[in-house]
Amino acid sequence: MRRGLWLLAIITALLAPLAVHAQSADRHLLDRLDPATADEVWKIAETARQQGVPYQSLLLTAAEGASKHAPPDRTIAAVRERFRALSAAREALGAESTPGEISAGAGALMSGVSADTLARLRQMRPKASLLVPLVVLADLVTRHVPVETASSAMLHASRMGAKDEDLLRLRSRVESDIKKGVSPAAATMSRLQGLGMSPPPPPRAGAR
Amino acid sequence: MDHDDDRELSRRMAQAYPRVGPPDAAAKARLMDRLRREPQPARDLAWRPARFALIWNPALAAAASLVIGTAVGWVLHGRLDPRAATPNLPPGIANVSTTRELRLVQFVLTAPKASHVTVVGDFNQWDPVATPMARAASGAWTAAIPVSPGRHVYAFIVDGDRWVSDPAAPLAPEDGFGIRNSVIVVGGQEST
Repeated sequence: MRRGLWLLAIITALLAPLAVHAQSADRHLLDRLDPATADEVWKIAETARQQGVPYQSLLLTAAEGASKHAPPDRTIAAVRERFRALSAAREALGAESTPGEISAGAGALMSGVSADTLARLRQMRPKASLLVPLVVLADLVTRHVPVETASSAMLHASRMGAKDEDLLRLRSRVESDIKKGVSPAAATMSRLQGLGMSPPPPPRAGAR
Repeated sequence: MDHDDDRELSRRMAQAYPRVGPPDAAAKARLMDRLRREPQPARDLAWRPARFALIWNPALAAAASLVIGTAVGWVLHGRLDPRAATPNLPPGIANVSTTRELRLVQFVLTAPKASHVTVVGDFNQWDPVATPMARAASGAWTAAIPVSPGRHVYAFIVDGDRWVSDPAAPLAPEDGFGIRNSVIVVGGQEST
């Protein structure tokens, strides 16, 4: 019994330096903030971690604020907004989602995509990763494809069983078309057909 | 009296000694054969400790565990530290090979009047000095960086204080810092 306790203590001692090292590596991202702001951001990140929300992107947001010499209150506000987006993405995509999916979902939400679209994408691909669909969706919106069109196209492609490679090809071709002067919405619809998928039905009323 | 006894003993020994002859050949062969079959005795080295045993010493074991754990943490430093995923790369690294996870992405900014340009983004933890760009004869500044697949935001810093978005890439939504970032999607097969 006593030897077992000692073994447990030794295993803990073995793992402790690794855990401390990982935490210190994360905390390093806040080195360029003033101590009070860094502490506040760290508290938010700790809350996120406890809730199963990927907190590293919060630290990156704070690091971005430090590099841009943003005032502390603006940095903290940006971190809180990012935290809200991550929480909403996790709720829409499900608690079993990977950190990458949640981060990509937050990016899509901050681009204007609705939480309902995220939830429907998850319903259509319950087992497969949503990382690529979410990244492509956010990218299409960033390229001025209307949110309704981009959401509808991505839902339709997922319903038709499009693979990640297909979606990445779609994104690349839409980008190319837009650079040639084609309107973002038209480029998205024509390229979707080019992948062998008939155009999706018109977006539902109220869907974003 | 004693001298008489000694003389008698010497006489008897002198008589007996010549009678002791060499052993016969068969007896000698048997003896030598038996000796050869005897196991060799272990060498006893003077410096070897007389007794060697593993002793369960909890304090020593805990101390050793701490040392080993720290060493393992040090060895794994590159794998745990996110900075290690995007090392500081020298200018002109187009021939750097990519790993299975990372893709080499070439960033380009045309700024002929600039004296110093860096690229900064989530892939290098927004470190303004981590990734300097190399100037080409055409006035373009380039940097090739291994980046993980996914959507990334970035910008350029010209001459240390001027933030510039990439004119060849779409802009990310406003993120609260007043300076719009550019967006790049790094895919499994192709990237911008």
